[in-house]
Amino acid sequence: MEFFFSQVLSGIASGTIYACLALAVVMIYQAIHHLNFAQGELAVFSTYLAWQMLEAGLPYWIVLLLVVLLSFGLGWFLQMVVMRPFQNAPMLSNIVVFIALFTIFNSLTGFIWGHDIKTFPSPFGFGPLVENLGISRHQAAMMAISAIILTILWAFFRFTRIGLAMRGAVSNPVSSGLVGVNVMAITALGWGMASAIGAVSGLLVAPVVFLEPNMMLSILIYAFAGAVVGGLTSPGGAVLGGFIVGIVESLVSTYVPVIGAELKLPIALTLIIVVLLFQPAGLFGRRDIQRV
Amino acid sequence: MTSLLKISDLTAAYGTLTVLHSVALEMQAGEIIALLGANGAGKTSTLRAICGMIDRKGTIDFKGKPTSHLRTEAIARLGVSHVPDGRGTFSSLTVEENLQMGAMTRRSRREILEDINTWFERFPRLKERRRQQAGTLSGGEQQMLAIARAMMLRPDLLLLDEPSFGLAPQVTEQIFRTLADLRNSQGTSMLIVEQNANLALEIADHAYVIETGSIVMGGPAATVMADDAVRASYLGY
Repeated sequence: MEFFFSQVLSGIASGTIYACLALAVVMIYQAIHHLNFAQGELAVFSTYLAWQMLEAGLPYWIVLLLVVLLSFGLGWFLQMVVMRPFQNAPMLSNIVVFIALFTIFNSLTGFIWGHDIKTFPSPFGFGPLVENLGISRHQAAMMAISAIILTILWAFFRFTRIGLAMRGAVSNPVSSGLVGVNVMAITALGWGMASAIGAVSGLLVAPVVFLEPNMMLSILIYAFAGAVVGGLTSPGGAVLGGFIVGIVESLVSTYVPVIGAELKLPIALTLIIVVLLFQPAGLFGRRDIQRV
Repeated sequence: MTSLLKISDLTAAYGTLTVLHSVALEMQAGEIIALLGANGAGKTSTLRAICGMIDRKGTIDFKGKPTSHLRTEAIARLGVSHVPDGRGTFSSLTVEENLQMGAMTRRSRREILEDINTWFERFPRLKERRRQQAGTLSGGEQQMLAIARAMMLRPDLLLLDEPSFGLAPQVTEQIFRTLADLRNSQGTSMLIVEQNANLALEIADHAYVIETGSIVMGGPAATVMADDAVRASYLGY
């Protein structure tokens, strides 16, 4: 039983990582109704920017602030300059652009900073939060920060007019223009926010998994799985989904003999397929009903 | 006095396909104008051109200001509201959120709330369903919602694209009663595109007839209604 408990805890530990990035995934989904494959690579790029600034001797919290702002600007820029010509293009064209962005940012990061593994500091430290509980201070901080971002997102979409405009712009872009909403600017805001959240998740994840250009590669797949399990329209669901994916991954790879560490990734993919088959809106997502 | 809307030499195209040829049209504040024509004549395109939803050339002056170079959201901010073809429902938002979307250009939260309540009184069906996803409403309820949403902008000009489309006769009648009432109580000017020419001419002051992208006739509603060709083509008697 103690062994089981420790496996669940280790699942929660990796679940925290997935949940962080899943928030960015949900954010961009709310703004453009697509999954952005380049999300993870953008986060890695932001994390390297932070690493560079830390190397230059800037204090951690200043770096965090600067990187969040820069990432927001980068997201905004990508929508306004790169995605803009594709606004009326078919979905497939958009997906090709996402894959292009993925490759560009992945290569760019490797080109600028090399492929050596770098250590990334945590301002919270890795000591245990409470003796014998098995949760480190950094992990606890990740959970707390995810909860804060989650609350901000929830309030943003629930209570602010810009949040409503963003949901409207996704629901019906043409009608949004007709009621005076600048859809392009709203979408750019969504890209900016998603990139900023991605940057925070990169800074939180890097101390745990070490910084290298492919850091987010598999994490993004788990984060997608988490977001799909919880529901792409629900930030809270996505965080919970991230934890579920982490725990399921940990338990299955421990107790199902065939699946060792090597076959962990298919667990996430299987989860995605099962959820899409039986509960397409996710556990907590809103089901869109439309009468035609 | 400057006209509310003055269109001249308006040409519009979808890509290489020109759908409007030198359209001219004028309306005064407080008027209801009916735009009649067969399928594909260019009625919907005229409304879309006014709102900047398609590429257009020519002069469109709204309240004396040229608008033919402006983007859709800027034209909306000037006070042009459009109930589009297909009703334009925000189907994943609730009924109440749809109405709030309509008031996006306005500032005062208190006035917006008051207006929402006024519309809930006018259409009690919408009030009953205020927290329901708008995509689940029936066609008639969605048309009511579309008109209420468009009016939430407090527009000077309301464009309506086939408000009777796909609706039961009683619902259509209710919609047109509401439109007539809005004009009488608030003086809202309207440009109505309608297949059901009889209904549209009943509440219109003036009417224009459009054929293959050009205005072929225009005048007081009574005159247009009395025209033999119009009667044969659009009124069916």
